[in-house]
Amino acid sequence: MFNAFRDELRQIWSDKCYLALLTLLPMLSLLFFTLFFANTAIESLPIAVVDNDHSTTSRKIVEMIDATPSVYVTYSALDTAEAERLITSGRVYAALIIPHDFERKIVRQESTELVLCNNGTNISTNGFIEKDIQQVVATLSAAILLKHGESLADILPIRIEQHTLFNSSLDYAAYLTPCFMPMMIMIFSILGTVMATTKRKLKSIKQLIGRSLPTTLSMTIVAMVMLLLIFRHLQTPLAGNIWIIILATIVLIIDYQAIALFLVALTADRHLAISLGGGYSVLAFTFSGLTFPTMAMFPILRFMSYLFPFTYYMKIMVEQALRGAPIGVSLTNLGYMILFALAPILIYKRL
Amino acid sequence: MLVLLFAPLIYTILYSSAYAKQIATEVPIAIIDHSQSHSSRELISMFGASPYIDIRYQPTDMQEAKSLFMNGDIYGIVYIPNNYDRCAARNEQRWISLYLDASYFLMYRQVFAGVAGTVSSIHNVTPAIELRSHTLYNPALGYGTFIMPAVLLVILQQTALMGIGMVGALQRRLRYKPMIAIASKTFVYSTIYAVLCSYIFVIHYHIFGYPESGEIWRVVVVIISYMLAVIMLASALSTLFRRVEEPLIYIIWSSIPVLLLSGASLPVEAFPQWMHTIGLLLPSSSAVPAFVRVQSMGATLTEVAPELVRLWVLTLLYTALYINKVSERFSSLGYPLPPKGDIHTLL
Repeated sequence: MFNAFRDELRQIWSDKCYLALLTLLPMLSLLFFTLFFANTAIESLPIAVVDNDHSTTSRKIVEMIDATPSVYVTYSALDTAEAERLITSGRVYAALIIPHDFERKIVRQESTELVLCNNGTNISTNGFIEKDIQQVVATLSAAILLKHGESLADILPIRIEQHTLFNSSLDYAAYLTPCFMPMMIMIFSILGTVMATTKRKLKSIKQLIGRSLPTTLSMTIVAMVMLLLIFRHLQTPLAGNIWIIILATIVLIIDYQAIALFLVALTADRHLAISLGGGYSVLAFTFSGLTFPTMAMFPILRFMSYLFPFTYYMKIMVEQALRGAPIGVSLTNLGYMILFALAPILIYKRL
Repeated sequence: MLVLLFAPLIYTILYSSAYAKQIATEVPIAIIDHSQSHSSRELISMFGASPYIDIRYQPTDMQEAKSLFMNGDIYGIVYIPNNYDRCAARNEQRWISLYLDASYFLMYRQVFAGVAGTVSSIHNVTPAIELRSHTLYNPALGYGTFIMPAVLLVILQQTALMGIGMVGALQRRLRYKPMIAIASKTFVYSTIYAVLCSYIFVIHYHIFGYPESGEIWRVVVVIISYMLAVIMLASALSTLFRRVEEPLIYIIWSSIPVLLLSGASLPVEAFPQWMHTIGLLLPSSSAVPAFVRVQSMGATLTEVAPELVRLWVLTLLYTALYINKVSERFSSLGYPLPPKGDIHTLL
């Protein structure tokens, strides 16, 4: 086993591409996500305003909207058609239309309305803009009614005291990096293992393990760097137990190595094994349910999500990093992950 | 062949199916009702009517609700305090508490929309200003409609980079004069992609009901500009690969970074400007916004002109690099050699 290990190290050293995929490329991918998510607080999304009123009140509401954290008024359009052109040419995400009798109606204590045309093709910008403008309108509306002598209980009978239990900073980076970075580890674990086991004929299980070991070690080191980046540099909250996360990360590497072996045995072809393995690891993201909940998928696709170790890994990440859940909850998921490591046994004979 | 043709097909079908339902409705929540009064029950029935949330449990205390939370059975808790009815009777403002979980953003949003939307619709006087929101181009805010156009384009680019790269690595030896080789290859790839794109943007699009607001010829112009830039980039890169697995190894991990750089999920305002600028070297970074605007929003070609110009500049740039590289190799080899590692082993 040790001989095979040493032999494999020599192979890695002499093959530039193999060496890169175990060291340079994974580090580069981690660097990419670190830089990309360095500052993702959404600020200043450009919107246009069509002010048909040109009054003090309309200018005031535009100022208030401009002052919100995410919205930034960059254009004032003449009419709705021009505003729509600004949206379709990608210069603004939304347009706010102020009616010509806006101030007059407020003075006369009549109800008036603002129209917001908000681009729905990007649901994240849509949500931020909607939320901020809604808040400004509600605040201003309440202030006007109070001035008119209405009581707060009539304007807003029920108030909500909001608590965000987990990931309370609502941070995009905290939410996405613990997902994207492990995916890189998965991809390179598969690639490394396929490279190690398809070059020359394998003689024994010991030799197989010896050859796969450099990938395991190198990926474990990369994974530790990854955890440092996630929890120290990007300051993702760590509410639970770090040891469970470390353990799960190592199991994740071994899982994907096992899956690589499974594919190699199944296809007996290096390029096919790499293609299938790559596809399998990229798809894992969609099926982990982090962005689009598996709950909302069709049953057969929801079932498919259980076929990716990554799904369980993400659950452990969310439970331990963001929620600080009891360890017992995560141990079950860790158990499922360990089952995947047994995948090669299914086709042991073909190896 | 596998990577060029089947991989994009399998990916597009799997991704689209996963997002086929588009939105999460009836997200399970729990309500703790300590008021147990007529008015609190009235409020609960109003929450029950919201399409966003489903009152799955009514636990008696916070401890019980929290354990439901930790087990992943619910995604939000509404707490109605015992003074709720008293305040309602005295016509005072009454408070309820809402506990949310931001570890799954989409769920967070649905629960918030369900609870806050219901509460804000309750008032005794008409608001002075009402905000009427129109969600353009994707009225239901469907997740598939939002992300799939970008994903489809990125899949096409990434599989082309790998597939064409693999063929390039196999065909290191030249059989024909460089210009003939380049022209014939480009022609073959263009034909393959014409077929593939027709399937994806006509049949596939139709099956999954993605918005088709763009006039067909405009969409065709955008797609052709994109695919030519992609094919030329892939061909230029393919001259660098020596072994068949190299393109797979160097490119397979980059799909998510490429998708992020296109600004399709996180807007370009949210990540470093310099990364976006460098990202413009990728055809996808220009094609994704152009395609979304033309196909989903019905923009005209003049409205996506900057993106189209960038795509054509990229096409010219990569064609020049490709021709340069191939003729360099041709002149260093002298005369074309007979073929050895034949392309048919791959195709």
